[in-house]
Amino acid sequence: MTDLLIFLRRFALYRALTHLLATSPAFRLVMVALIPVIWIVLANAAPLIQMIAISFYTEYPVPVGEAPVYSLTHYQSLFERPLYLNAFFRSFVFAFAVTAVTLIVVFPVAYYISKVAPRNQRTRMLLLVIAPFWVSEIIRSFAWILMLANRGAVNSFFGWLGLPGVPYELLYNGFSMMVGVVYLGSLYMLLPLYSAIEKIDDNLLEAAANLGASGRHRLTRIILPLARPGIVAGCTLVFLLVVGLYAMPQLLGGPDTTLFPATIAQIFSKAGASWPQGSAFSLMLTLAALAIAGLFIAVAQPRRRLGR
Amino acid sequence: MTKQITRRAFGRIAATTGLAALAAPFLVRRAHAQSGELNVWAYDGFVTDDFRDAFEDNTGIKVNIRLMTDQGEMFNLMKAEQGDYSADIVSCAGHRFYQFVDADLLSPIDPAKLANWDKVEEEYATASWVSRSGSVWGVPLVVVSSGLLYNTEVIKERPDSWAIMFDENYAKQTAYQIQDFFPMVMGYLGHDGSAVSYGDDVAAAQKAVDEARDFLIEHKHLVRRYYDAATEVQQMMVTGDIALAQAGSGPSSQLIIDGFSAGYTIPKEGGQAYAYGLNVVNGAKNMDNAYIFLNALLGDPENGASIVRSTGLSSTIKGTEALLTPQEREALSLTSEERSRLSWVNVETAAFIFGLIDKAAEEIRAA
Repeated sequence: MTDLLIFLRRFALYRALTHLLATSPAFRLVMVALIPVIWIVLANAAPLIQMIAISFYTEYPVPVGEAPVYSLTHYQSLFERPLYLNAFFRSFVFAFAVTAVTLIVVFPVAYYISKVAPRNQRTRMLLLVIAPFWVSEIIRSFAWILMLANRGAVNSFFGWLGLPGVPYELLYNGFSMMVGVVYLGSLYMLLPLYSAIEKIDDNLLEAAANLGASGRHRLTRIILPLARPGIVAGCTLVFLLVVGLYAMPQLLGGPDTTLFPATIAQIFSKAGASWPQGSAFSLMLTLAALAIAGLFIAVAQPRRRLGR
Repeated sequence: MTKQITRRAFGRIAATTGLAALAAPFLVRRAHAQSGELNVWAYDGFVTDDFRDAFEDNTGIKVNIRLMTDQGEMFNLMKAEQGDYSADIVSCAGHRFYQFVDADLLSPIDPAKLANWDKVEEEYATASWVSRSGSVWGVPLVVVSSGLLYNTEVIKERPDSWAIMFDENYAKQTAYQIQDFFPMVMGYLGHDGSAVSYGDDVAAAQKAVDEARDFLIEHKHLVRRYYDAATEVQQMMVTGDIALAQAGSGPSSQLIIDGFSAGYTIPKEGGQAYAYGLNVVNGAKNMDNAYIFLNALLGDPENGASIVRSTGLSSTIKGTEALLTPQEREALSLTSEERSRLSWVNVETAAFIFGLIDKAAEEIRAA
C-alpha cells in the first residue's frame, strides 16, 4: 500500500488532489457528498429520466436499427377515454379522503403520546405504535383480509354478539380499502404530528387553562396553530403515499374501487408496446400529485414573518 | 474496544464500493451466461423443488428460477431485454406463445435432441398450440381448463349453467377474472367466445364483445371481486367471501384435494382449455443446458405427478395419472360430457379476440 502511495505521488494530479483534500474543507465536503449524490442520481433520477424518455416514444422497445419516433399521443390518450380520467380523479378523491380521515384518527393518538402519557412511557408507546410497520404492506393487507372476511375476526365477533344479518360484507369494497389504507398511512401522519405537538410548550397550555380557556379554545387557538407544521408534513406524506398506492387497494378493494395505479399496472402488463402509455400515465400521476402537494404546502405552511 | 475508520480507510471502502457498483451489471450479465447454469422463468409449481435438487445433483447445472405470474409481464420484460435475454427457458401459455414466436423471442424446439419427447402424450405433442409455421415451439407441460368453482355447502346441486353467476340469490358471492371469464360470457349470450366463426369480420366480433361487456357492467353489482391470482380465489372461498367463481382447474382441484367443500364443473354453455409449456428462448445463452433440463423434465412420470400435486393441473407426461391417488384423480377428472363442453383456445384468432377483450375489461373495471 505504501509503495502504491509513493508511486501515486509521482503524478501531479494526485498531488493536487491530496493537497486540496488537506487544505480545503469545501472540497472535502464535496468529496464526501459525492458518493451519496451519485447514488441518489443513479437510484432515483436515472429510472425517472428513463421513464420520461419512454413516455415520449411511440413504440418501446425501439426496434433494433430504427430511430425512436417521439410523440405526445400517450399523454393525450388520458383525456380521450373517460375510463382513464375516472380512475385518475378517483385516485385523487380517495387520497384526499384518506388524508383527512388519517389526520382525524391519528391526531388524538399523537397528542396523547406526546402530552398526556407519562414522559418516561412516551418512547415505549411510540415504539408500540410503530412496531406493526416493521411488517410488510402485503402481510398487513392479508391481516386485514383475515379480520374483515365473512369468516373473519370482526364478523365472528358480531356473530358472537348475536347481531342480525351477520356476516356483513366488510371486505372488497370502499370501506375495507379505506380502513387498510388509513392504517397504512397512519405512521406517516403520526411521526410528524408527534414531533410538532411534543414541541408545544406545556406552560402555554397551562397558562391558557388558568386564564379560563376551554379545552376547545386551547385546541383551536394554541394546539392546532402550533402543530401546523406537523399537520402539513403529515398530510403531504400521506397524500403522496396514497395517491400512488397499488398493492393494498388491489387486495382490499372491490369491483367499484379501481384506482389509477391499478389502471397503470394493467397497461404495463399488457403484452405489446404498452410501456410508453404506462410511463406517460405514471408521470402525469406523479406531476399532478406533486403539484397538489406543493400547492397545499404553499397555502397551509406557516409563513415566517419578515424581520424575525 | 472500538475501531475508528480513518479517512484513508474510508476512501478505500468508498472506492471499492464504487467499483463494485459499476461492475455489478457486468457481473450479473456474466452470471446469466455461465455454462454451469440455467435460467428459467416459470410459474410456481412448474419446476418442483425435488426435481430441481435431483437435476442439480445429477448434472451439476445450477437452475435459477424466476417465478412469473403473467404472460404479458413476461413478454414485456423479454422485449425490453432486446435480444440479450437473461432467461434460457420461459413458460408460455398455449394460446399466447404465437405472440412470443412472432416477436422472435423463442427458438424452435428440435424434438430429435430430446430423447424423452415420445413421453409426451401424443395428442399434446402435436397440438396446434405448440406448433406454428411447421415448427414445434415448446414442450407441453400442463393442461388447464377454465370452469365454474362452487362451494358445495352453499350450492347443494351441481350447477349446469353459467346463469348461476348472475343469479340475484348469490349477489356479492361471485368472483371472476374478467379476461378469462369473458369468452364464457360471450358463449352464455349465444356468441362465439373463441371468435373462430368471425373470421376477419372484426365488426361482428366487436358487436359480440360489446354485448358481453354491457352485460357484465349491468350485472356488476352481483360480483364481489375481480381477482387476478389463482390463490386469491382459493382464499376467498376459504374465508367464505364467495361461493361461486369462474376459476381454473388448478386452484379448484387443489381446494378439493385439500378437503374443502368445493366442486368444479364445466357448464353447458362451455368452458375453455389451454396448456402451458416450457419454451427455449431465442439465442439462449445456455442452450445445451436447456435441452438437458427439458429432457430430464419429461423423463420421469413421478415428476409429472409432483407437478400435478403442486399446481393442481393435469400433466402432459405419459404415465402420470397412474401415480396419483384416487382422491387426486377424482379432483382432476371431468365427466365425458363436461370434457365435450371444453373448447381449446384457438391460437390463430387469439390475438384478435384478446385485443378486444382487454379493452372491454378495462371498461368494465372502470364502469
